[in-house]
Order: sequence, then structure tokens, then C-alpha cells
Amino acid sequence: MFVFPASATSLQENLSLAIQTNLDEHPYWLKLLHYKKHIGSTSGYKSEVISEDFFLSNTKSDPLAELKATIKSIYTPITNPNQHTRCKFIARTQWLQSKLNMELPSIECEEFKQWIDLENINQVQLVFASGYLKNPASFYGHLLLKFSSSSNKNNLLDLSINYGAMLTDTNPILYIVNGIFGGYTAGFSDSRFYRQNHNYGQTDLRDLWSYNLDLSQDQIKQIAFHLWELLDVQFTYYFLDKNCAYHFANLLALVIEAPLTDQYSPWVMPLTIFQKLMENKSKDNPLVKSVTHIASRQSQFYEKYFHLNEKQQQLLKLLLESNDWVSHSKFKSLPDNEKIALINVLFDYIEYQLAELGDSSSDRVQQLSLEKKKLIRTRFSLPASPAKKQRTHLLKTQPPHHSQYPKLIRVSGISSKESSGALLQLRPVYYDILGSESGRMPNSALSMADLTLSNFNGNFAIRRFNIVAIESYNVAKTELRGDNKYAWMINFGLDTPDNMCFNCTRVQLSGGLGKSYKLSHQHIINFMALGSIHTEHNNEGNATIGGQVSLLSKINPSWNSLITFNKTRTLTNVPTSSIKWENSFFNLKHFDVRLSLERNNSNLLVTAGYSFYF
Amino acid sequence: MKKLILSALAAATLVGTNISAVQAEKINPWRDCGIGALIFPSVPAGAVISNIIWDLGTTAVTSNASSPDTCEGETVKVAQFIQETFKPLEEETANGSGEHVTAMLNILGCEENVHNSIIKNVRLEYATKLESTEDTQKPQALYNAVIHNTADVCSAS
Repeated sequence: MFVFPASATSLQENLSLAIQTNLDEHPYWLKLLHYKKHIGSTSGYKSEVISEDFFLSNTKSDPLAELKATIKSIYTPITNPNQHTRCKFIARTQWLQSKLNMELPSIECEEFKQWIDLENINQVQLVFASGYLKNPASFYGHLLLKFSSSSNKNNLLDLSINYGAMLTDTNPILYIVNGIFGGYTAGFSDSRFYRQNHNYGQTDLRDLWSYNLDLSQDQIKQIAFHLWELLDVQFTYYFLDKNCAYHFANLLALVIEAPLTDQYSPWVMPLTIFQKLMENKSKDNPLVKSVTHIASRQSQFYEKYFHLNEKQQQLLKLLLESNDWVSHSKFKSLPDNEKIALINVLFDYIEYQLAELGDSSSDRVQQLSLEKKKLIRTRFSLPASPAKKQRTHLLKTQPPHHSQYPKLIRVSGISSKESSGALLQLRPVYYDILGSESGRMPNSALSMADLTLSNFNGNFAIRRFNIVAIESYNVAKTELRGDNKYAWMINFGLDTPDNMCFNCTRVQLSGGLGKSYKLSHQHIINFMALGSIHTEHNNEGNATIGGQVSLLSKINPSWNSLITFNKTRTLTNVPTSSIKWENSFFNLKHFDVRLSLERNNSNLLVTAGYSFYF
Repeated sequence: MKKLILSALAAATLVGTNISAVQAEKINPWRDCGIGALIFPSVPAGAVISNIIWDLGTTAVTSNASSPDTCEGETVKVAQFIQETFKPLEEETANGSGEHVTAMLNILGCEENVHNSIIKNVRLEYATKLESTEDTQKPQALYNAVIHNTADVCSAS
């Protein structure tokens, strides 16, 4: 290729023009370089990027110096196109070309073209991976981005982008400390979507939700150009506020004006990005064209299972309680099409169970693996069947943006025979068992730093402070073996042992283990053994054991109810018992109304509250 | 790093190479292009074991980035795909269709109108290997059946 000599005149003119027009202060330039306001910097800015080679000016805190260095570098002779600034920093180059009068020789960025086929890509999807209670770092879900073509219905080969910390240790304490306090570097990485689909959907059993953004071809190019610049780049990872949600929001901010995060919030949650995307518009058009559910292996299993008729479901149950399923006389007597239907449900059942059991070499794992081999052989011996048709979704899973906002302020009035007062609850994250459960693990609760203050007769006191509280009913959806896990809960923080005592909090760590059963479509009963250790109150000792029975009812979308009967005994043999009926009404994204009645020993307590979610 | 990512991702760009049976015979992606090839360069059997235990992912292809003639191109990419998605892919192969099967044939540049006939033949060939193949070798057996049955009918375009 013939390379034109750089025009010195053009370079000087464009440098002057860039300075005169203050391009270094332009919001787009600041976004491309990830500059944030910084008090300690003479320019007032510092980039969040920590990789040295992301900067052409040898400084991370001078937007003007970087602007000048970039313009000069754009004009350098092209010897190796792929290593030239115009190919390494395409977004910067394209933007500067749009703002200045650059006359540049042509250049072919072959590596970029191999990375992404922009001729055929016309869609960008932001993907939400639902929360995962087995890993604290995944409680709040995760974000991915992918590029696709509307003409290609198979998304497994889509180019997908992830953002994550580069882990250097597996110690759980270090993992948490480094994650929160900036001990890890992080960056964007790319892979084909089949890998993400496998990791999240097959291994972690997490449903994915793909939000198809309404972007122009030019906007899609801007995102692709900038991601190309970011692939080798490192940031410092902070779990709370500089996480995947934060960086994908920054990326989309190149082309979406509406804010996708809460500017003054000290943390950024993946869910918030999707809620903001659905709420905001661009020139009166929605930012999202469509939302697609990508079912995990577990969800696929349920979907197929509930499409079986009752007789088939009973046979499946019978098979799972036997050995050598395909040799069972009742299976062998089935016509081919029914065998095929059952085998496909069993494929999903086995992989769901194996994912739950992990890497163990237990007898159960070996048995399932053996049955899978036999099923595969049997399936090969039967006729091939045509591609699966689109199924109706019996499970009616709701996308995550329908859920309530994660931050809560609740004001309640509380009254008993002797006195009355007020409660103020502040919960930064995330949800309780009575809230709406779109995009969340059903019948579970997850909250952190959940503070409740009380005011009785003008006296303020802390009534409860849950540093961490997690509860999962783990209700079996089927009656099949292995689909009935333990219910569990864990709670650490301050509590009030006697709800009629208004100033007697104690530090406590409690846990529970039990089972839940579905009584009907609307009602779930849960039995749980409880144990806690705590600081002493009224000479009642430092440990308590007991149990509780709960009835959770989802009466209709606007009314959820929970009745809990609790009986405990301290190790010094002091018994307590309580029965509580809690209700949540309306269950809208921004608010609900709570009403509860509680009898604690012989006292009746009534609480009515208004919740605001944001 | 970008170069490394490129080598792993060029798979689905579907540009270039014809898939020839000759090439397929020359390259064993598990033996020649994986982590194991670095760890056990002179012990092919060890290389195979190492790859299956660890990965045939980006790192594996990356490790052979200095041998672009042997470890790039659609055959290696499809081997990688088969290794990473083997469970659903094997199920779909048994069924005769599915999204993983389609994606696999797309990597190899197979036109949609030949998918059914290819997978029919792959299904027959792979089924004959099931009894005699160890679990750890099954992805390779499926790969061999796929390459054998696409050699004359698919090309990246």
C-alpha cells in the first residue's frame, strides 16, 4: 500500500483547532479516556484506566496532553497498520476526524475487521445474568454485552463481552477484602457467546435475559470501536461501585444520553442499569426493542417437565426411583415419540442435577453419569427428530426490570396496648421474601446493611441492623428425586430479642436449616430448625435454639402474605414464642404497603408501613 | 493479548480456509494445539489428557499462536466449540438437530440446506463409536465424524 506523507500543515492546523475548540474538555473525549474528576490532579481529572499503554501522552491525568499526543500520533507514518494509533484507538480517531478537518491516507485495520464483522452486525444486546446465591460476588447478578445480526437466529457464535476482576487467589476472605477494597485489577474480555451460555446457563444454572437495544448502526460502531480500544486495558476493581454494571454503563454512555446509574449512589447494581434502560427514552423511542429469556438448564428442565402429561410425569418419577431407566419395562413399552420426549427431559434433569452436585465423585454423580450414557445410546438408536418448535412458556418467568428497586426507605407506625411509636427502615439492597420476585431467585430474601430505627416517646433506638441476611426456601417445583433441596437462612447483625423491649439490641449470628413444600400454586409451607449465638440479654445466656413454621402465600400479584410461628428456648432454658402475620400490598416497583400483626408472648403489636423503593 | 484473543475468535468470522480432509488428518487440535502441547511436547498422550482436564479454550489456542499454519482456522475452532459444549452438542446430535449443532456447522461454513444430510451422517458415524470410546475421547470422536462428513460439502465463505 502506498502511504502518503503526513501533512505538517494539517497537523498544526488541527492541533490549533482542537485546542481552540476545547476538545480536551468535551464530554465525549473525557468518556473515551475514562477521565473522572480528581481533586489531586492539576488538570482536575484522572483516568480510571491503569494500563500505561492506553495513554499516548505518558500521563493519566491530563486530557489536553492526551488530545495533543493522539492527534500527533494519528499523523505519524503508517508502517504497521494494525499497530498504528488509527487502528489501535479507532474510537478516538473517528471522533477526532468528525470534529476536525483531517486529511488522512487510507488505512486497513485488518485485526479489527477480523475481530468484528461490522458489515453484518446490526444489534447490540445487554445481557443480565440472574443472581446466584452460591457466590457472594454474584448475589446481585452480572452483566454481559453481545453483538449480533438480526438475520441470524442462532446466537451462540455472537461476539460477547464480559467485564470482570482478574482473580489471583481463592481464599474466601481475601476474595471479599480484595474485591471490596480494590485489590484486584479488572478488564473487558471477549469470547463467543456459547462460552457465556455454558458458564452461566449450564454450570451455574442462572437464567439470562437479553435486552436488545435500539441503536443506530453508527452507535453500534461507536461501541465496537471503543471496546476494541479497551480489550487490553486494566482498571482497578471495586465490587460495590466500579464493577461490571458501572463499566458497561460508562460504555453505553457514549451513545445513550440518559443516565443509567444513580449519580450519587455509593454502589452500582446490574439490575439498576436494566431498570433505567426500560424507563428512559431516546427521542421518544424506547431504548430497548425487545427482551429475550435464555433459560438455564434447570429452567429448561422445568419447562419440558411441565409440558409432559400427568401420566408421563408419573412415569418419570418412577424411573428416577429405579436403576437402569432405559431398561425399565414401562419405558421400553413406550412408543418412540414418547421415549424421545422423556429422554430429552431426562437429559436436562441429569445435567441440572450434576451442576448442583458439582465436581464430587459421589455414587449419585456416578449413577447419573451412567444413566446419561445409556440415554444417549438409546437416543441414537431412535429416529432423529426435527428441530424443537417454539414452546409456550409455562413458568411465566418475569424479566428483572419488573422487580422492585433495590434501595428501600420504609416508614411505619407501630402500636401495642402499652405504647405506640414509629419505625424507620433504611435498606441499601436488595429484597425481602414478600417483595416482587421478577428476575430473582423465587421465595428468597437477600439484604445487606438493613437498618431499622425506632422512636418511642421521643427516644430513638436501633431496633434491628442486619449486616447480612439471606434466606432461601428452595421450594421444589417437582416431586422428583433431587429437586427438593434444603431451605436455609443466615443472619448477622443486631436484633431485638423481645419486640416489646424498645432499647435492648444485641449482637447475634443466627442460622436455620429446613424444608419447604408447595401446598398449592399460591401457598408454600416452610419448616426450619433455628440456632443463634448472641450477646447476653436479661441473663438469658448466649445461645438460643428453636424452630419455626412459616406459611408463605402469594394470594395475587398485589398481595403477599407470610405467617410465621416461632418457638425458641435459650440455653438457660428461657422459652419464647411468637406468631407474626406480615402482609405486603400493591407490590409496585416504587412502593408497597406493609401491614403486620405480631403476638410476642402475651403482647400484641400492630405495624403499618409505607415503603418507597428507588 | 489482542492478538491472542483474535486467534481464538477468528473461528466464527468464517473467512478463508477450505476444510480439507488432508488438513483434518494432519491436525489433532487436542494433541497439537492445547495447553498440553506445551506441557508435554514430546508425549502426545499426556498432551491429550492435560487438555481435557484443563481446557481447550483461548489459552490453548494462544499457546500455539506461533504456529498459525496448524492451529488456526475453522477445524481448530470447531474442535474448541465441541470440547466446550460437548454435553448439549452430543444430546442435539442424538436428536438430529439443535442450536449447538447449527452453530457448529456454521463455524465450518456449511450452507443451511446441507445441515440435515451432514448431521444424519455424523449421527450414524458417531453412534458406531459410542460403545468403544472412552468418555474423555468422545469429543474427539464427534469431531472426527464432523470433519469427515463436512470435508467435501462445507467451506468457509
